[in-house]
Amino acid sequence: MQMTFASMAYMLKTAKQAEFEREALPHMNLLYNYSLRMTGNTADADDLVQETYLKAFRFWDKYEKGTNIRAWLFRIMKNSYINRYRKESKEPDTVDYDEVKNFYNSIRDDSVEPNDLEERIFGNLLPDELTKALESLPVDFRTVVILCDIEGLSYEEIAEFVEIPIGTVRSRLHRGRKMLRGKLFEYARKRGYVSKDQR
Amino acid sequence: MDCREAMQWLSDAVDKRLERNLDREIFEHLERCKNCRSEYEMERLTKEGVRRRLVSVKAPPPLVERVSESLVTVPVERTFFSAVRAFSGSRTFRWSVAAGLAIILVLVGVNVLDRGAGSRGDVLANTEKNYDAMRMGNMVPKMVAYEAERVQEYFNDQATFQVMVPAIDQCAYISGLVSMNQDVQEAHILFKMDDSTYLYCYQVDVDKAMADQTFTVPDEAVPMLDRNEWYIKSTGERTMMLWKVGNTLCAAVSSMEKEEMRKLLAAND
Repeated sequence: MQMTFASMAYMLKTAKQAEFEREALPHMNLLYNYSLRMTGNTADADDLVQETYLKAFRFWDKYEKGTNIRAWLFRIMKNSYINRYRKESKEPDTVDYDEVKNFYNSIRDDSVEPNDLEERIFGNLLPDELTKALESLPVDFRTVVILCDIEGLSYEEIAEFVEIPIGTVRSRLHRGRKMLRGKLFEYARKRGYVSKDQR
Repeated sequence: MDCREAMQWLSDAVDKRLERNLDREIFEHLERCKNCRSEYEMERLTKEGVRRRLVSVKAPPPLVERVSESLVTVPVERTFFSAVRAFSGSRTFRWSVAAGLAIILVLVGVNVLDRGAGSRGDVLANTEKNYDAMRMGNMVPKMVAYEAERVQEYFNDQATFQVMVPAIDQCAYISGLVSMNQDVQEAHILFKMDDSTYLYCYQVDVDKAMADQTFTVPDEAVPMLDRNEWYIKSTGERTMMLWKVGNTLCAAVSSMEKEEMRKLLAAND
């Protein structure tokens, strides 16, 4: 029985593995964040990241060298996410956006500093309400908000990640942010922060 | 610019990505239109709130480790890697330490083989020893793949007798090895089914194995093999099987349920 050093090296790390690690692993932070925002807890986020990398490794031969690897990895993750959590989240409860606007105007009138205004909207949230509000968004809208506002990706890159035209990126962002503030308003009202006369 | 257009470009305005003309036009509109202006301010505030309060976090180091470890496609005992990790330090350092330890394992592996498959004796006993050696990484595969076809190609290329790699899809990976044992060629196939379950299959040419009684099978198994029946024996947590396909003697061992194991293997009978 011949056992060469080569076969040992193969056992430890194949060339494919080394290349994959070099190319794909540096993007784990982005994937982890998306995973965390989509699943809502660290255990599921871990699993989704792991599943994504195993799949990506398995299909490494199919990856076209020189193309956007972040977009490629992201798409594998998004498909895994959708397969796993098939019960697609529905549109959030209908929100009366005029109410949201009235609320905004009511706190705006006596406020001068824009930063102060932000503090008045977000500062009164319970710690995980913003997270919960984001999680309540339908996948398509949540995805663009996460990629743009948390990860700081350009519209162009988002379009490539999600495989949609730029025009769709901008309309989803607009609607996504609108749904988000509708949800935040709901929380504020539930806690009585928005009083009856402000409506 | 009218309200409809303003709404269309609103997210771009918030993200400050409009080219100069369009940017001026939309802000002129926002000056004039209170409704659109408050839409703009609300969207801007929402974005700012999310950006500031939901910061991007780093993937936890244990996850990075786990992902990178899961890409090691060969069945090496976890404890082996844990021991290596205890040395800590840089990745490169760890890999070189691992390589060093691995060379020691090769020597151990050869010894295991000498005492295991190398000795004359019962095919089932040897199969069980090989099963352990393969799982522990003491017997090093020459071929590791996700698809049975690729492992089959390896055996077609390397083996002088007909080796049949069962086409089991639902496994994590398959490793294969051809070795010589007293001038008799043996094929080893190990399926990793999940984190803790393996299925090992041993194959050898019947005529060569039985010549000069290099290998023996349990007496009661002989008539069953002659009738092309399966000989199945359960010992504690392991199930062993012995059967014949054409001129190839096959033995398998696993911690899997007897029926499940039989089903997986028989599909290729």
